[in-house]
Amino acid sequence: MYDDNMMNNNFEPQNGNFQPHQQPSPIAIASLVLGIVGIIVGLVANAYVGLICGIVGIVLGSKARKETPSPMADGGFICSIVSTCISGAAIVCALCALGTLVSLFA
Amino acid sequence: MYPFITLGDLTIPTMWFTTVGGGVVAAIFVLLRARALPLPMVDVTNAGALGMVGLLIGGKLLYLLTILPVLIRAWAFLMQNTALLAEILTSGTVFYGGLFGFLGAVWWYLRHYHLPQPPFWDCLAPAIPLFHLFGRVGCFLNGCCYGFESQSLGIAFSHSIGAPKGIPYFPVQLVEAACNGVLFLILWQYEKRHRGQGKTLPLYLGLYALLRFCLEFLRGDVVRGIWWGLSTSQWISLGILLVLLWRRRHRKVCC
Repeated sequence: MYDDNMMNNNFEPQNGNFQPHQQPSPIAIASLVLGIVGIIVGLVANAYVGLICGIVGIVLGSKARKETPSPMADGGFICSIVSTCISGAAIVCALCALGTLVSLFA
Repeated sequence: MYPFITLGDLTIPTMWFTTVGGGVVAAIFVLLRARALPLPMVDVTNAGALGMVGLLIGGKLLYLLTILPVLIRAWAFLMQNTALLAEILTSGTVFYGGLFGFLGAVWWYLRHYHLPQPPFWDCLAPAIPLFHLFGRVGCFLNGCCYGFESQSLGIAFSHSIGAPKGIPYFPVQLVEAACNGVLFLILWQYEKRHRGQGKTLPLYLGLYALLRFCLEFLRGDVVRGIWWGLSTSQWISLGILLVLLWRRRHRKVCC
């Protein structure tokens, strides 16, 4: 027996059950945009801006994956994690400057 | 040792490789444990990623707090050297701050979505020392968080961003990395025997607080802050042990 949804191919198998496609939420779209922007900016311009984009993208992506799951939410989540990892080099431990300051003022 | 790795025109901090590598290994472990328990993958990955955000923010905040006295004393000097100020503010992180940030973020996620705490903590707790192991190896390659000066047991750094070059320091970073490896194995086996009871995380906190309190006596870098004879991390370790003891006593009284 066929129904309208099956005829329109709006179903895709998920863990053996057919689930309707969720339209991507604005939060998922924002997460994806932030993730991609964060990767590009983190690589070629300012790592701190990339880090902030990545962090905000992770928060939005996790919310989207939980509340309105969609492939775009997953994509935004992953891109934001990549952006955070790439830009994380900006806050890696680098104590030479601090050591100099402590030796002068401690 | 090797604070930077050069790939063509790119110069990348070695610690970035060890941190990301440790994160990947810890994430693989968590995902495999989550599948075995089983726990919903969406929640495990969400909690883990938010925990990573908490780790970055918490580690940075505690770092800024520990250097606040030096910043205040040197404020006039730093106002004339803003590039140095920017470098100091943006570089550096403290493990305990990162740990509390991680725990706080994961706890908030589980509470917000009304998820059971014990099985998630049992899944995540062993991954913390596993990740930390890689971080401490990164500290050794970086030349930071070094130990006391020792001619017989020390290793002298020829390239370092923290330890003075040419002076042999005890490799406390490698000792802590090895201890974290042992801690990971203990927690992994403990979790298998006490699955779903939520006891793995308190065990980790207690054991690591003891370990860190002892290892701090072997540290030689004073930049981490000394307060009334004990370092910042030692005071935090004492605080953790007191909270765990109070919690244990409170449960015995109630039940």
